[in-house]
Amino acid sequence: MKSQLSLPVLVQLYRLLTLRETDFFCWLCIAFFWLIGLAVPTYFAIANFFLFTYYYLRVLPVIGSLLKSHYGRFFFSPHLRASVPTVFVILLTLLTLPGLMHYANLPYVELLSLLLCCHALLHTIVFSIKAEQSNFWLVLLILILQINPGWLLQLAEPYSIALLLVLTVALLLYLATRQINSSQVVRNKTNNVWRFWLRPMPRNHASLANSLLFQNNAKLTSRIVIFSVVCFTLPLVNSLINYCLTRQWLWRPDNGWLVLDDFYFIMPLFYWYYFGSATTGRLSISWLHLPVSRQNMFGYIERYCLLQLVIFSMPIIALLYFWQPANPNFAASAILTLCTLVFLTYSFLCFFNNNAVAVASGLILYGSMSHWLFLSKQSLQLEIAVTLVTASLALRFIAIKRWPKLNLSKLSLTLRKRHV
Amino acid sequence: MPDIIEITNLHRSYKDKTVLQNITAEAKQGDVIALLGKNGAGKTTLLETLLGFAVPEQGEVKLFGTPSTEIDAKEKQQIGFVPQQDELLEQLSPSEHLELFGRFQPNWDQALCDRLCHSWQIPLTSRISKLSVGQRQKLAIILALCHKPQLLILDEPVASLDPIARRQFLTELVNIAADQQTAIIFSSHIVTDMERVASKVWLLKDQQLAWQGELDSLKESVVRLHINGSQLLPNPLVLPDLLRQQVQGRNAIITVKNWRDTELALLEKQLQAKISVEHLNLEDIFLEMHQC
Repeated sequence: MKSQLSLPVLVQLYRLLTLRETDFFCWLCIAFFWLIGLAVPTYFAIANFFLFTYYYLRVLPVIGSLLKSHYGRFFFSPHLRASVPTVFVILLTLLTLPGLMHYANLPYVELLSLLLCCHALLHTIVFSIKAEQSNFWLVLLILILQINPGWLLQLAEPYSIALLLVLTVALLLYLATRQINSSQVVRNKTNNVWRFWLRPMPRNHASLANSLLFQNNAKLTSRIVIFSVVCFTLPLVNSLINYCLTRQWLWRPDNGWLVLDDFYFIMPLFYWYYFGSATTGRLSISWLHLPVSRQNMFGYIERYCLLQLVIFSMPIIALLYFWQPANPNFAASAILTLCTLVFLTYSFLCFFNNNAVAVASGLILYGSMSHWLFLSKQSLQLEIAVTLVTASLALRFIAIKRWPKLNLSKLSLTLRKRHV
Repeated sequence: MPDIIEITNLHRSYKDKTVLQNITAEAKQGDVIALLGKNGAGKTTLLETLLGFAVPEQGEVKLFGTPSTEIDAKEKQQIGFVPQQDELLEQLSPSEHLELFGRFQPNWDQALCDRLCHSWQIPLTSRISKLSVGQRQKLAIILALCHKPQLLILDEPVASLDPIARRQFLTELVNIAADQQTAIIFSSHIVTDMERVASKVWLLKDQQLAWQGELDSLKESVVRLHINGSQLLPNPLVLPDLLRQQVQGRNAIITVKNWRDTELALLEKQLQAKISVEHLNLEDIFLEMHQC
């Protein structure tokens, strides 16, 4: 099979490092600490801690599974697949060197060879050993490197540098040949109900299903724009009316129109309802394009809904602040608002074919929300938030049990009736 | 290599109403299967169950050796599906839609796509929401054909097509089945079209597959007998596998299934009559089997 991806190598490497939706933000966070480290070297250590744990436990396993998969072999040339481990070992060595130099009191050359060898070893562990067995060794090695890297050097004495370099070259050669000869691995199918974190999912693989599900592209910027418009239309209309009447532009006009003021949250709420019902309603259309089986479908849809919720929460929190800038319990109110949206999302996912339940719960929530948000007691707001999260978990559990038996053809009929 | 489709004792029902009962069938590479049945016979339910849209209450459906509810990207990429009602992204233009789909299909045949778009006169730059029903149907068919699927399922694919487009579509279907050894299942009410291309027939009646097998065998099996007796014929005639009968004095017209030519002499002797055998076309067989 010929590779059809003719992108520059650097672009391909960048894509590999940002395969999952949240990867870009995580790298941004690491870069933030790393750059502060240039001024305050202690921050290099924090950047290193995040880099080691995040890269080896989350990013590299995803890269490994993609490279070995049918898609990886289709999209990436054998040359690129063979050189990926070496390039990433060098990159990681360069990124972690400043941090290690700061807290490990070792000569530069020894540290460099040690890091090269450790990164090569860590890559070998990730690429060669099954995830369940490799995690222990990864965590152990990372901890040793973080706590006392000199101990590893003592192990290799008296030929430490030479031995480490030879070992590095051998490991990299092994990885390169392994990548070229790798065959497709059996996908690890897990149905663990309580597994929350994001699972590996090549981004471009999911875009088609995404387009079919959401009827729009999944670009971050466009989503933020749409969500912001939904959240801020009503406040802007309020300001505009005030301007027309008084010829004075105010961002929060106090014109006494409680109707507009109280309904700031209803548009976002209804939009979220539309989003949830459209997503579940379009499941049948996208079923043949979803890159997952029924068993993993819930996790897939849940992941995308939560990702959209993360994006949606930004304008919602901004709206909350805009609504009540002087709220002394802003943090608790923000948590409560987000928990409400999480609950609403899971009620959609649980009652996918009975949206009346979801709408009813949404309306009750909305009715209570403005009251809750005005509450002066922070502890009560947090208690309600905890209750909502607990209820969401219960809904999630029920949804997971229901989804494998979901009749998608029925959903399709409901959708047609509504739109035709 | 496993069969492309294996159905074993499939049972489906909506609430208390049984739609499919005890269906067992299989489809191999190169099979072109015509799925026949009256309105509401369960054709769409069968096709949707085949594709994993719904979970069987009993029995099992396997696609490429994998249960249909567990198929993932690998199996799905080998399936082409044209639903009764198209499911296109209306805000895109046909060219954008084709490009989007093509980008995710490793076996996308751009030459075939271009050829079909040209010959079917798809307006590539207009929005899909502005296309006519027939043009949308053609686009849906192109999307299902151009990634060279191993299994092609078409639910009423020609309902909105004009006769020229229908003929072109059927030609493509025959070519694909012959060249790529694709298994094709299609349902339609235009039985003459099905007869032109199908090699096998699945006939749904009373929630069950009343017939599954080669089209030629079906045509040989269901025949109309014109009986001209030397004396009055008993009314009604009592014969095995009788589908329909019309007796008038010494003459009778009856339709039987599971017919074998060797039975002719025996029946002539039994009824003391001269019998001529009429072979039926698929549409007549369908009507006779439903006693219309």
